[in-house]
Amino acid sequence: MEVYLGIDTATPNLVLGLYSPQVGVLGVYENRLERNITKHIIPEIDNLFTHAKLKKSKLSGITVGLGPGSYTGIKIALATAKGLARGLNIPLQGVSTLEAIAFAVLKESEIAIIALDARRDNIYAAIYKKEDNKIICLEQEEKVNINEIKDKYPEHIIIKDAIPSAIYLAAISRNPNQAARPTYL
Amino acid sequence: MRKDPIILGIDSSCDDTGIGIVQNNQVLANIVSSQDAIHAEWGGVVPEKASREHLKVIDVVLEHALREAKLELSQIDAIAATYGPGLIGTLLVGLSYGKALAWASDKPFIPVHHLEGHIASVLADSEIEPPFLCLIASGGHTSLFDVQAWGKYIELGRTRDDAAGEAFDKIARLLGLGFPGGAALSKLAESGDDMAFKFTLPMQRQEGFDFSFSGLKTAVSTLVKKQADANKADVAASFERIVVKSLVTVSAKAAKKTGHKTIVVAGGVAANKRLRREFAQIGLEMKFPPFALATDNGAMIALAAQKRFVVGAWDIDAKPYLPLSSTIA
Repeated sequence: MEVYLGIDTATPNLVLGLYSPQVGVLGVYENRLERNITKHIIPEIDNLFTHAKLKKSKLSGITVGLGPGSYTGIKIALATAKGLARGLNIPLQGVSTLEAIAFAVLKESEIAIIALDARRDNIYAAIYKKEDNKIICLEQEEKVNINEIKDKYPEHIIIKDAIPSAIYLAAISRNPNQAARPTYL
Repeated sequence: MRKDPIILGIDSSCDDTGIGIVQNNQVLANIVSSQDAIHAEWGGVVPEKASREHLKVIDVVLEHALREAKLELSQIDAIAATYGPGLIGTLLVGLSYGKALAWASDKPFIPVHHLEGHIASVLADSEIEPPFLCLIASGGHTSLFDVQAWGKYIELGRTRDDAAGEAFDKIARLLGLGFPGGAALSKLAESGDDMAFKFTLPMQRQEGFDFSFSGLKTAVSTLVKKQADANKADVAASFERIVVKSLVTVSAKAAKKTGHKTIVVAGGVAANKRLRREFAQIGLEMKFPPFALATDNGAMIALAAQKRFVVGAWDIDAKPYLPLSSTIA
């Protein structure tokens, strides 16, 4: 049985997910921890394995949310994921945090601007569509003024500051060429 | 007999990514990835740039350290990392990486205070038992400790403003010696007249053991502004004379009060030749860490960790402001 771990801390939330393509969802953790993420990230990953009655040595790979989002959050997730991947000798890949939010909030065939607060009327934003339960990126992520993007895309709604899906990260197909490089916008 | 544990230490408290491996005071590896080139352009450490660089290189530095020690990760018995004091963003990278690495490979994790690392740096390939005095003088810290036992440290004094190394770097920049220019300044000072300019020795009338270098820094920069033709080597030598005199005078006073016969000088400023020469004249036994362990590094964190084997500190957070006394159990 393959088991994958998804991690994202680019928003104020610590989100973790354990997923097996053979079995399905094995565990999820979601909590708005703000500045307490460093304290809880390893204990909560440990809990996830305990509750799933799984040994960490069974883990096959990790997918980490690369941001955009909180610079500090991105670094905590990446540093933790790198340490876990090295310690367990398993591959690490990265996926956009906005893409993981899109999966969590979009209905089938829906298109929206997925955004995270970037202070002073700015947002980190990208446009996604959900199709056949997959996420398609229509406009690449960038840091923009919220009013400008409203004027530019009046036809789309903006979904701001939602929680990324860790299960999406854990369940996404493996791409060995997708290096885990942080997205600092 | 059980073998001595092999400990891997990580330091990312400021601008250098350091990973070292030690076993019973023996340094098996000590790799430091310096960010000087990145920060030179700005004339100082830019915290966000520093944090990003740590994240970028930390796994490469780990592989270097393991290769140098000729060890596999599986042969490491415990992992230690600095949890404070330092820059919050940079601390978080080394601490998060270290905790994750330890948890994933089923090893104990040992959080270490950065200054305890500096004190322990003198253990490298050497033996020393407390009590002794320890002066830590670096770019980020200038503090004097009464080391009563391993784990029992009393801070006798500290700088009230700039760290000694920071003062060196700032004056070096003023004299056009680049960043970080502390070492270049000392080199230049060798050819200068150290009595050319009479700067005032700071903190002369204090009861305690504190330091202050910002007044001296202002005096030097005022002089350089007023006398653009002042000989740079003379300025450097006169400045260095006062910094060293201040460090030595306060340390000698502390030795007298505590009765300690040995002084350990740690931190980057410990490499200063004049400092070593003048400390040799105050009748104390002197101990310096090897040069590679004087500036920030991971091996010193591992050396400190030898003395405190705590297991299961998974919920430890980074602490940018952390007095050393607060780590004592």
